[in-house]
Formats: sequence, C-alpha cells, structure tokens
Amino acid sequence: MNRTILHVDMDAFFAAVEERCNPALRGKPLAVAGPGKRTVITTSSYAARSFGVRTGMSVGQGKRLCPDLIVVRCDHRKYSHASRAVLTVLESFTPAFEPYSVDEAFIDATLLQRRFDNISNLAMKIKGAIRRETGLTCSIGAAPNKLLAKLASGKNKPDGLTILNPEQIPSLLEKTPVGELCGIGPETTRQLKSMGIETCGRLGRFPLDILSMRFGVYGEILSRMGRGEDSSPIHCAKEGETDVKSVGHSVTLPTDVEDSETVTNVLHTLSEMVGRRARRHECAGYRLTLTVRYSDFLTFSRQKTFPAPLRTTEQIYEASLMINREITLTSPVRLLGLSLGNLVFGFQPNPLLPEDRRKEALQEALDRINDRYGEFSLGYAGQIHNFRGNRIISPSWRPKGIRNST
Amino acid sequence: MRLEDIGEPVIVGAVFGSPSKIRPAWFIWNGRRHNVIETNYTWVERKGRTSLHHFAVSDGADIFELILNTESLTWRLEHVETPG
Repeated sequence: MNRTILHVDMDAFFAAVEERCNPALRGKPLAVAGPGKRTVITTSSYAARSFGVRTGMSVGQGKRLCPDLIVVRCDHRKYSHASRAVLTVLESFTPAFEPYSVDEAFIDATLLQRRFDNISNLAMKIKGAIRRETGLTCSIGAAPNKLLAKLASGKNKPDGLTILNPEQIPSLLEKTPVGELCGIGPETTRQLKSMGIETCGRLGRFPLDILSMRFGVYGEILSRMGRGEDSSPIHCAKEGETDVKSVGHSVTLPTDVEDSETVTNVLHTLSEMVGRRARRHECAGYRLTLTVRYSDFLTFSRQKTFPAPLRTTEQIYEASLMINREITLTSPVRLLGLSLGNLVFGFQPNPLLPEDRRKEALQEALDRINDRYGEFSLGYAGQIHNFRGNRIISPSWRPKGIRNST
Repeated sequence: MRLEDIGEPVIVGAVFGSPSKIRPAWFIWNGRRHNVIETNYTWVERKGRTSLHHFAVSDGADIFELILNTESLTWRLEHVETPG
C-alpha cells in the first residue's frame, strides 16, 4: 500500500505565540530573540521576513534590515506549553505521529485518511483543530514519504496545504534546489554545487559511483533523496524513547570567557543538568563528550570512554575535568556543551564502598529536593552564578520523555 | 513595546470554572485596580511539584503576565508590557 505522510509545520511558531500573548503585535515585524545580549533571532514573523529578517541573524542585523523591528524576549515555557497543546490535538486524531521538533510533527495518514474521505479533508480538520485549540496556524504538506511531506509543507506558508501526488513529484524535483531538501545542509549544497549539481532532478540522475566516491555511503542516500525516495518510518512519540543515543546540554555564555575557573564552573552546572536528566530516566553513559565553541564560532569536541557508566553529577563533572585538562584553549570560549553517550538504560547503581554509598545517598537526596522544589533549588555553591535561566529550546526537544529538558 | 520585570505579589479576583478554566477578572497592583478585559494566552510551567499557571492578560491598555502558584495559592505579577 502506498504511504501517505503529513508534515505539520507551525507557522513562525515562537512569534505566533508571542502575538497570541500580545495581540497588538499582530501583523507587525516581530523577532523573538534569546534573553542574553548576544543571542540571535530564533524566529521572526512573516511581516519581519518580508524585510529579509531571518532566523540566526543577530538582533543588530535584523534592526538594520528592518528599523521598526520589535524584538521580544524568548520564553521557552510558553512555547513548550503550546507545543504540547498542538501534539495533544494530533494525538486526538491518531497515535501514529512523530514529534519532529518543538513546532513540527509527522503523521502517518495512510489508513487515517479513509475516515475523512480524502487527505485534503483530514489535513483541513487537523488545521482547524489546531487553530481552535491553540489559536495558532500551521502549514501541512502531504506526500508519499517524510522527505517530500516536509518539502511540501514549506511550499505554501503560512496557513497552507500542499498535497503532492506521485505523478507531480518528478516535475517538482526537477527544479527544486537541493538545499530545500531536509538533510542537505549548506556544506553539502556547496559540495554538490562544485560538482555541477544544483537541483534534485540532477542529483537523482547523477552517476551513483561518483557520488559514492565523494560522499561515501551518504552518496547513495543523496541519490535517493534526489529522486524523492525515503523509506524512513514514523517514530511514534512513545516508541521514540528507545532511539535516544545521548543526553546532552550546551550553554552559550553571557560573555566570552578565557579563565579556567569560569569554564570549570560552567562544566559543573552542565554536569548537573546532564546528570539530572539521565538519572530521571534511569540511564547512565560510558562516554562523555565535551564541546567547545570559540568566539569565532570554531567548534570542536573531545570525548572519552570510561570503564564504568557515569551517572551522578560528581562522576560527570570529574570526567569533564579530565577531558578539559587535555584541551589547551587558544581563544575565548563562547559555548560549552556536555553530552553523555553510549547509554545503558534501567541502570541501578550498586556501590560497594561506604564512601560511594554515601555519595549515592547524597545525590538521591539532592534529586528528591530538586524534584520537589524545582531545578537548582539546592545545588553546589559554585553553581550559584550559573543558575539555569530562560534558555532557547533545543531542536531535539520533545514534549515527553528524555528529550524533554524543560 | 517595553517589557518591564515586576515579580511582585498582587491581589487577584479570579473565576475558577474547572482546573483548566481559571479566568482572572481583576487585580490590584500598586493600590490600583485593573479590570481584565481579555485573557490573551495561558500556559502552565512546572517547578518541581508546583504548577505555575501563567496568564497574559490585558486591561485594555497594557499587557500583564500574572502567575498563579497552585501550591501556595498566591498570585504574582511577573511582567508588564507597555506600548512604545
């Protein structure tokens, strides 16, 4: 049976939520930016986009393009609540949906569409229900697979519906720039362009052996993408938990730092954030990765695998210091990240030594207090200045489970 | 738009319809009563075991963010957003 996949993409999500909170902002050029001085625009309204204001620009850049730009401070609590509300609407239609990011989801509509006569009726019902329950609009793309459904949802924004029938796909792909496909980033686009490949049509026809020589195993995937082929399944919300391969957090520092004391201090806070999430979901990790981004955006990671899985804040912190000692910082640091990988789930610590048992008991007590009163209600004195404030939602955020870091 | 952080306790008159239907009707801040003309948006935040219900409300002139702490049953005015 031919599959039918819907991609639901909320329109200028963060900006739309802010417009709901303050209707006076509706229709005005609006940008949502992080709370710090140096954060970038995370979303802009369609009015702002018409001036060229885009996600990822600095606020200054945005203001230069649009002097009347209204900048609103990002509040992830509002957006994650709205995201949950949208997913509750989707869940009322079918359990076969995959939250893809805070403002996107895929739905397997192969069987579901029969209950609504056709795919167009189903999509309009979903759009109506989302608007009724949240006051927000979305654009929906319908296609035989996730790759094409995502491409379709971007074709008619905002509040659009694009249905791609199988017979339309070759002609659409013929002229579609490769960079419009999800999974082909700027670097791959640049490399493909250097090979004379600018459109999906050309990518799909390009000799596979040359693509494989240049991109390795990814060459075959690119070739299939060029032809609009994608067999990836819908990872339903609850099943998705088993796919989690790492637990990580990163933080962009309020100012670039060079002193090791501040770096270790931030690592301590990150260790607590990563450890809390891992412990809440009863997992531990053998591998720790430390990511550093310099002020010039040069980013690198160093990782270490340990003989016993890391779980407590202290274990993760000490491991991060071990990795950090092997790094010589050559520029001021803009961002630090820690990620626990090679995870084992259902991990129950069983310390033998009295000292280790005391540490486990202390960790448990700290966790219980923070469960009761909220994150960082009780923590290490050194973390007091790194209180975890209002952050930008990570692209991997999910409304439930281990990816829910809010 | 100008956003001002307030973070002060306020007295709120609210209608409790059902657990998910709470509607602030008026609040007193700085000795002045503000009637809520419209509740533009609501959202819930968890802090530990406590639920914080946020309400973006308008008195016809400004936008106020009120927060109800369901543990202590207290209200706080978090922000005021004024035009200009």
